[in-house]
Amino acid sequence: MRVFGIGNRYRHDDAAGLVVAERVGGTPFEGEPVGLIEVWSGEDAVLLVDAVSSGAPAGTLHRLDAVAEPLPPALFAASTHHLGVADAVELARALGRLPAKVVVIGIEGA
Amino acid sequence: MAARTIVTEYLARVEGEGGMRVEIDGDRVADVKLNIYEPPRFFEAFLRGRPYTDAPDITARICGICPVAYQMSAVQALERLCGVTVDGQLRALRRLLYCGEWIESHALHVYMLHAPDFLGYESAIEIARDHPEIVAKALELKQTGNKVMTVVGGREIHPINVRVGGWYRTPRRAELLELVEPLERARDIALETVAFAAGLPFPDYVREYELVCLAEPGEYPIDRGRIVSTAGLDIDVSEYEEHFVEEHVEWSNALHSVIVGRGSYLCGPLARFAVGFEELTPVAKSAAREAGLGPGERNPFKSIVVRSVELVQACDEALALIAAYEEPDRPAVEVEPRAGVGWGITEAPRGILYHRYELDDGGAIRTAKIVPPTAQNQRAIEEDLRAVVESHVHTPDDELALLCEQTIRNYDPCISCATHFLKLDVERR
Repeated sequence: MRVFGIGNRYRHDDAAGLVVAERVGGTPFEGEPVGLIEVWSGEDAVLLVDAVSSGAPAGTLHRLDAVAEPLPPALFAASTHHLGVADAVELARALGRLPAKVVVIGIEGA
Repeated sequence: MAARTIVTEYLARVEGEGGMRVEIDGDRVADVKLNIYEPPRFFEAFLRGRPYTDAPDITARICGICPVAYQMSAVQALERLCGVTVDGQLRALRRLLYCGEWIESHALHVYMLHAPDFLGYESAIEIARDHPEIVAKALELKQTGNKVMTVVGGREIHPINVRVGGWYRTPRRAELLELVEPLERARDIALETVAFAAGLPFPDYVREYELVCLAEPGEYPIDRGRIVSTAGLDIDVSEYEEHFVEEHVEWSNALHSVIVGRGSYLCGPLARFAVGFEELTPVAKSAAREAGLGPGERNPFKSIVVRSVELVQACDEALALIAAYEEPDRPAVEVEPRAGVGWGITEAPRGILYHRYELDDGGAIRTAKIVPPTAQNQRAIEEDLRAVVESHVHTPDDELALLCEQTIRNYDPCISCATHFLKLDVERR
């Protein structure tokens, strides 16, 4: 299983996914989330790690199965400029380019 | 018909946060407001006291879709102030970076933000379920723009390679040659995009705008030129503030920009196409003609077709720039800061973006002024809304609200830029 850490290094807790990817030998991903559709092509199973904001205590871990159901967009809304992680997953699903297994770990930021 | 109010509190498929409110009294449109409630962002104040070299990187943060526009207007203004000319391959690389931004921004808007309005879908994700082949190509086009940004700019969002005087590092020729194949595919997709967009159903609507853009002989307007309009304006950027003023309105956190003595005007693809038609590359021009578009086009709903033609133009130009690329001897020219005022203006994907900086003799920024394209188009958008509602006053509220949103999206508004963020209210009485 390939691990992708998503986030922005310069945006405090939004760097959580990148830090995890670096510690476990995964791939840090700092670009636009739709770019994931290209980078995960050919992978059967991926684990995405990203910072989330739901109002839960900082450090709370959320485990989501993106193949079973759509990701809640509000959890991953970090920008109004770009299509977010939830949009990238839905686009990939519609295009038939979602890996067979996509597990998402959300790390609650402060 | 009774009085009614049509309200869209939060506009989807625009960059940033805003809404719209339309009040209709019988057959008469009583009031129209584009309500930009994204809070002001005070970028001009952040810049005060910072070294002039910070301007391209700080202003790039105003927008994640068009950071290159901010960088280019900033460096142009500061280089002019310091008496420096950046030309040859250093300038060609800037135009190439700008082409990358046009490709990613226009691909996003045409397919993901605007096309759903014409096709009756809520979002591009819904289009993808019914027409995956269309959306797959849109993504490929956008990713190619991002690749150009990464190779030339060092990063796909908020490039880090632009500096006053040139670049931190210029790319090797081999790196640019890797972009050729994706750009050739992107140009083919862009040509299909023109045919796709031209086949969409367009509301029957035209308006005589004063169209404003840059003009430079021999070039399609992107990164330099005089400021011209279809009403005869022809000025140097240093004269901008004599002709364009910003006004505050209580319902918007973005300032409205008007032409002194005349009022609203429009900038963006429709303006560039009207003025720069003859400067299109032969491939882009023939694509436009096949789509039935000429420089006299004044239907703002057809801006989606014009944007598609500009996608062809940007791919074609990028390929030409890469073919002619020779690695420069040095990545930047020397810049010595001096006290004074400098002005810069370039064509962001959605229209002209003006910057003015005043430096002290140590090169610190004393004042900065930034006028983004969405602020400039706000008045024209409200006038379009009024006219569109007046001509569709008997249309049911929900349908009318969608038509109003589509009208707003004709201008690819970037609310984040304009406050340096959109929401729609239609009230019937």
